[in-house]
Amino acid sequence: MRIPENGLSGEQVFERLRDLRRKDAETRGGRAWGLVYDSGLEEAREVAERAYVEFLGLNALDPTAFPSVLRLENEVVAMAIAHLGGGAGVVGNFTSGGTESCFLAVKTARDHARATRPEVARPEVILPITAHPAFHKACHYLGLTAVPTAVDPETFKADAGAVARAVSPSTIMIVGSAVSYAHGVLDPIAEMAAVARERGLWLHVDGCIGGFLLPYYRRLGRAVGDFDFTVEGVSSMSMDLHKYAYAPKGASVVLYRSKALRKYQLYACASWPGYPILNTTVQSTKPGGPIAAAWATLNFIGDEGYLRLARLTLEATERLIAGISGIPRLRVLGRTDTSLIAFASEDVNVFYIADEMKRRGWLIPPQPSFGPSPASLHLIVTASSLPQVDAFLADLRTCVEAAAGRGLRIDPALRDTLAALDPSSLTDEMLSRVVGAAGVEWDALEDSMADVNSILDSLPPQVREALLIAGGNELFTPAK
Amino acid sequence: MLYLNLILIGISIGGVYALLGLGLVLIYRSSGVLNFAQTSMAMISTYVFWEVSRRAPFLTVWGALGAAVLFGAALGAGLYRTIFARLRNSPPLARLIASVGVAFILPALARVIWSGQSERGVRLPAPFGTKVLRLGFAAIQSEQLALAVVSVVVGIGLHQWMRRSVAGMALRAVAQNRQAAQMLGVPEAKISAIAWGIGGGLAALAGALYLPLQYLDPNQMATMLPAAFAAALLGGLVNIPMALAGGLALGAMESVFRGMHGVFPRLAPTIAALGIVAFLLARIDRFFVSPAELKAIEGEGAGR
Ligand SMILES: Cc1ncc(COP(=O)(O)O)c(C=O)c1O
Repeated sequence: MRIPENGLSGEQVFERLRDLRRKDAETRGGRAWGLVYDSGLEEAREVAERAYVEFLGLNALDPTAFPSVLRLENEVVAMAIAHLGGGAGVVGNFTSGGTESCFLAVKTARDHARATRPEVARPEVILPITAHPAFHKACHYLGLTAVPTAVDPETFKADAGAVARAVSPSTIMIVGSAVSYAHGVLDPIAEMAAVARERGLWLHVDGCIGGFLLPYYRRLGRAVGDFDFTVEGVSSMSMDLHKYAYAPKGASVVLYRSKALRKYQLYACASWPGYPILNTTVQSTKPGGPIAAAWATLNFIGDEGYLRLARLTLEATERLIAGISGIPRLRVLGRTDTSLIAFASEDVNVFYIADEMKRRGWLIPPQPSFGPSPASLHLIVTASSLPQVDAFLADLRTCVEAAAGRGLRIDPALRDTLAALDPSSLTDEMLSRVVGAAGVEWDALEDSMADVNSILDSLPPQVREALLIAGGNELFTPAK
Repeated sequence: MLYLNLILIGISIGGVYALLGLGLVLIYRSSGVLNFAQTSMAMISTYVFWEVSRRAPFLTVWGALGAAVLFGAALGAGLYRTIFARLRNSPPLARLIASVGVAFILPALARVIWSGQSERGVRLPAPFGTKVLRLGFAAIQSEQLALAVVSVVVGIGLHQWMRRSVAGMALRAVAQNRQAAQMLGVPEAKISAIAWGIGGGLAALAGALYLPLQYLDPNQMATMLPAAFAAALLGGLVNIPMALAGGLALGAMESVFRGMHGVFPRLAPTIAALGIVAFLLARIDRFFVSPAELKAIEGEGAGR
């Protein structure tokens, strides 16, 4: 495929785009239980879109050329700090998303440790197994060793005792979740902070998905443990705006206790013949659109508006938990502290439930089994979920029955072959052969993922990863 | 070229089979135990390798490797003293079942001690590094190459030790004729404990050198048990050079199967098991052990 010789007309362009969208999941209306966050407020969306378009061409790379974007970033960060109990001295930056915020926190902690504890040769980061992969990815990119620790097998909250025991002379950082993605639960941040204080370690609290909602839940009367900058020992936090602040995608903040810590996040380069660079985050050229849209959304919805949205979310969550618990063979995992629900089944393959539900127009991302957490389905409840709850529960009940007794019988020889793969010494050629031998057709994945999910679920995580990479390598093949 | 490369990589995995197989041979020869816990011992010693490498960074990775080998040796000797010495005169089946029991207990223990780490697995530092070396026709990681080399060196060294050192000769004496050895004053229990110690140390070496190429969790190494047994069986459970060669060859064969088309990749994991059956059917042991020797090793309850 080449750039068309003569450009298409605007109309042709949109026709093609609309055509491509037909197979996509819905982004609005509350039928997608993952990937998208819908406030249900039509006007808020329009305001954000307009702000986005107006700031589309601006480049935050040079704040002196576009002081407006600098101002917007500083205002958004100030609102985030106030929301998370940050006092004077707390600072932060706007980033492109949760992964970038978490990545920067890890990089900053690493560079801080390099400066203050140069004797640590192989720095380690303690990650309760429920911490988001963004942290494993950061360790991978940054040459750090991730040390996973146990979570409580019933509540799925990080075990502060296990964290304390995992601390070694090489440890530089501890990560806690507020809340965890997989089960929506709040880690014992105060206890983890005590460990961090005692051992002189950096504690990052990942509030990407829960940080925005938790303060509202507290105001709605829910018991919420301390998790933010009011807890002494918290060095940094991340909070996404493109999740429960309902800003358009590409909006998150990373915050630090002080400028003295944040300093290690920044990067400058004057060793070349071009313009001297100062980058606060990973990107250099940085689009103005997401900042403006996030700013617009925060200002348009406002505190009372968010409280109302949180009330709707809370009510939908509680009704879903009650409804799911009432469906025979289903069981909710843990007790969510926010609005994320994971549910499992003892005797029905949940991946087939997800496929059945997809056929009825519901998008439910499945989660493979890991450690104490069985294979489950995951719901991200938002303010627009409430009107859908009854229809969803009715369909779910039917789909559980439809999926009962179904399941892929995985050839044990094949599974053993897959499990015995040595991820490090496998060539791409061998991997794609194995993937082929498993009967997985990557092109057919849009329609049924249950078989693939079942195979992945039966394998150790490291082999899952090797196969995902092989699959991803195939999926992204230049269009013919 | 692909196949040459596969063979080379296979030999490095074969080195793991060989190290495990050599331990099986020593342990069997000295105490008549078919040690199903060999791979579990390797796994748990590798946790020790990991803990020492991170909690005592000043020891460097070599210190950690040494600590793991010492731990493996102590574990082996300890298992012998506490369990298998007491079963010295029990039927072989009892000893076998005891070793299967240990093989299950060690992973369970690891799961309790290292919960959390045991779920995602641990990435380990590689003593010999993971640099890719180009050897003309093939590419291999330094750690993989080291595995092959170390197993050969250890195998040859062990063979010499058995033939020349007093302890080695005593071990062979115990294996050949227990009563006579006892009467000549060979301290059988001590000799067996030494053999178990060496077996445990070799298992630790195998784990700590191999698992950095993989990851560490309590289930690791267990799938290598058939191959280790096949290697040991090729030497009739007593012959060290044959066990070494068997392990290396088996690794190479598996690797080549994995790289071929069609059903071969799926057959790869079964080669070892097929080898075991074939060796048993061929009564390969009779090439290496006389009936009298076998009786000495297995004890009175051998029933053969
Ligand atoms: C707790 C947590 N941290 C980090 C992230 C990563 O965020 P993003 O997908 O925006 O990069 C997520 C995303 O769901 C999350 O739930």
